[in-house]
This record gives sequence, structure tokens and C-alpha cells, in this order.
Amino acid sequence: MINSYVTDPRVQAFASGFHFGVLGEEKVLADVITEAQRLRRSGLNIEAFDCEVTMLDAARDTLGGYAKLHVPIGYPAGNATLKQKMFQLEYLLGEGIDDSCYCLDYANLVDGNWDAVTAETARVMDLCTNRLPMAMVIQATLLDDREIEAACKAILQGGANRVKMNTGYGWGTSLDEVDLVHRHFNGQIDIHPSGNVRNLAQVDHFLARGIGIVHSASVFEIVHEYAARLGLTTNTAETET
Amino acid sequence: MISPTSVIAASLSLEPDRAAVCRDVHRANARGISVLVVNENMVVCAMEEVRNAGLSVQITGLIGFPIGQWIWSAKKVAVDELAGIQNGPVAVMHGVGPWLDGAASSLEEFAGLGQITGDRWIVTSLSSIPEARLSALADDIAQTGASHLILSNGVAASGLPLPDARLIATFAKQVAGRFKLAAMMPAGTDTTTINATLDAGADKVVCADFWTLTDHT
Repeated sequence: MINSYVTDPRVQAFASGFHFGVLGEEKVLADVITEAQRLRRSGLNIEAFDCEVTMLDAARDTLGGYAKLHVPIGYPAGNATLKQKMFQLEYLLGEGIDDSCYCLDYANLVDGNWDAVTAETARVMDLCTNRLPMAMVIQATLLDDREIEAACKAILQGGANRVKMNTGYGWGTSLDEVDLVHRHFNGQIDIHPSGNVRNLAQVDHFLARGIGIVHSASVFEIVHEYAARLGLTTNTAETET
Repeated sequence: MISPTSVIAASLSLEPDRAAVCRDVHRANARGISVLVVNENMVVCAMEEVRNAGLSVQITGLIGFPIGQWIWSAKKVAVDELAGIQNGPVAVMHGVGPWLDGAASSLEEFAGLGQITGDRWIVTSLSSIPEARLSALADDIAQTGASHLILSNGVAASGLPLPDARLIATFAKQVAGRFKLAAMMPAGTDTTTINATLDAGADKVVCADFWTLTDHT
């Protein structure tokens, strides 16, 4: 059932910055189809639907162009060999997907091997530029403030300007991490908070810093909370059904 | 204490640390443990340590860990690459979701694993598989010719529990010795739990804490 508030342009504009999806080792086709159908039924025009590559056809068939498709590379641990990750990227380019993120080799980030981070980013961007929007995942939770700053610099030097902060799976983005990147790289880096984004207060914080893309498994609840604040619904517990 | 012959050493932290991997190479070797499993991207580093120090421990890069949801053609790139680097068996994580679906990607991966010559291990998460399908899983793994199946909890934060002793005992009956069962034991698992897992029918345990859990006297 479509909530009546989806006709409000403010709600749709708010929803348009979200990624929502189904990822994980135990996910089956039914999970993807159920959530993709739920998205279509919601009437919300979110930015993209995220799924595993093995579920791409099911997501594509179910969504029928309703939302962009996002498939991650080297997800979530960035620990695949570079050669394998580049194969994954080329495969996704061949599949014509709309959006992706690339989990860098976190060992290079943790070790402060910034030249390697730049080199890996450059390899990716050589293939992606003007072909596929790509966010580089830095798993900020593993890093201290100086390392986060250095990682962002290395990514910029490699030719990318979108940074996904974390992957979820227990690695959640903190407001402080987002503030840090915003403070140092405002206008240079497009920050994508991801992981543990569960409520409107967090999203308000991100939007106040000009963030345009937020990944959240709680998008329906957050949009509902937003609509309630606008006075478009009175039931704060209700979500799209 | 756990016998080193029952242990596969693991240095699989999702918070990567090359120094810890190098330390674990030496520790596994010192304990006489035959195989140390590491993340794919740590194989080069671990093998350098093995060669430089003249160690005998085998290094295996766990391909596709911790989710296993990429397609076989991508994993095969790593299989071929690591074949020229590592000295341990091939180990590939198989996504449990596609297996439950009977998806073409799952069938293709098992067929591909079946064509690999030499020792190969498969890793998957048992806890999300209904008991009624354990027999089918055992048959599928056996058909690939894999010598070991490692039972993983993958990304623990996803909420998948490790299989308990009862489930392992049930599954071991279906396996009937066609391949060896190895159960991942996360850091901090106590020896009582590990011994219960071995008693239930696991042939080996995959331990991050192998240094403290194995006897070196």
C-alpha cells in the first residue's frame, strides 16, 4: 500500500537521496524480490537499490527500471585480490549497472600505505570515469582521524571524489567521521554515509552537511519519520506495508 | 588444550594487520599446524614470510570470504592467481544464499570447483541451511571432490550463528566421511566448546586463537 505522503514533493525529494537494498551471504532470491517489490509498492523514488551480483537479474526484473541498481565490489572486507576486484569491476561494466562502490584494500589503509591507496583508486577510475559512478569504501571505523583524512587525500589523488564511509555489517558510520571528512574536504568529496544509519536525526545531521547519498536499511522508517515531522502522517509507528 | 592436528590456524581478521599475519605464520609453524588460512590479499605477505624464514607451514588464501556471493568467474581469477603464489590448498567460500536457491551461479561454482586439480576446500555457512537440506549439501560438496568443508559464520555481525554441536553431529552423519568437516571457532571460543564441536563430529576446528589453544610443551 502506498502511503499518501508519497505525493508530497518534499517527501520524494528527501527519499531521493537514499540507497536501500539486500546484501549478505545468507540472502536468497526471495529476500531480494520481496524487498524490491516493497520498494516499488512504497511509491518512493529512492536513488538506488543495492544487491549482490548473484541477485542482479532478479532485482532488475522486479524493479523494471524503478530505481538504479548498485552492486558492490570487494564487499564488504576489501580483501579480494586486486586482480579479482578489477575483474568484478569489468564484469559490472559489462552488465551495465548504474552505480557501484569499491572496497579498497583495508590493509593499505590501516598500514598507511597511501601510495597504494592512490594507485588502487587510479586503477578503478581509469575504467570507471564517465562510465560508472563509483564510491571508494574506506571502512572509516578501522581508521583514526588522521588516517581518514589521509585516505581521502589519497583517493582524491587517485582521481575519485566519492567516499563511502563504511559497509555496514557492524562497521557503522559515526557522525564524527562524517564531520571530519566534511570539515577537511567540503566541496571536494561527495560523502556517502553507510552502516548503522537508522533514524531521522542521523540523516538530518548528514543533510546539514550537504550530503546527497545515504545508505540505510531503514529507509522506509526514516522517510515515515520525516513525513510525520511534516505533519503528513500522525502515526509515527506506521511504515509502508 | 587442543591437539595441533585438530587445528587449522586462521589469521582472517576483518581488521587487516600484516604484522599479525606474519606473526601467525611463525606461530602456526612453531605449533606444527599444517595450514594457516588468511584473506586472499594477505597471501603474498604470508608467503614472503614462509619463504624468507624457511618455514614449512602451508598458506591458503580464503577466496570470497566472508560472504561468498560473487560469481565463480570472479573467484576463479583469484584461484588461478593464488595457485601461482600459495603453497596450501585452494579454499573458496560458497555463498549460502545462491546454494539455497539452487541458483545457476551456485551450480556453476560447484562444477568449476570439481574441475580443479589438487586439494580444494569449500567454506560456507551451515546455520542458515534447514536440516532437511543437509543431506543435499553433503552430496553437493562430495561431488566437487573437496577434501574439507569449513563451516563459517562469515560476517558474524550479520547475525548468523555458528553451528552448534547438535547440528554438526547431524551433518556429520550425512557427510559420512566423504570429506572432512572443519568448524570455525571465533576468537575467544573456550576449549569446552571446541572439544564439544570435535566430539560432535567435526574433524578439525579453524581457530584464530590457535596459539593459546594448542599445547606447545
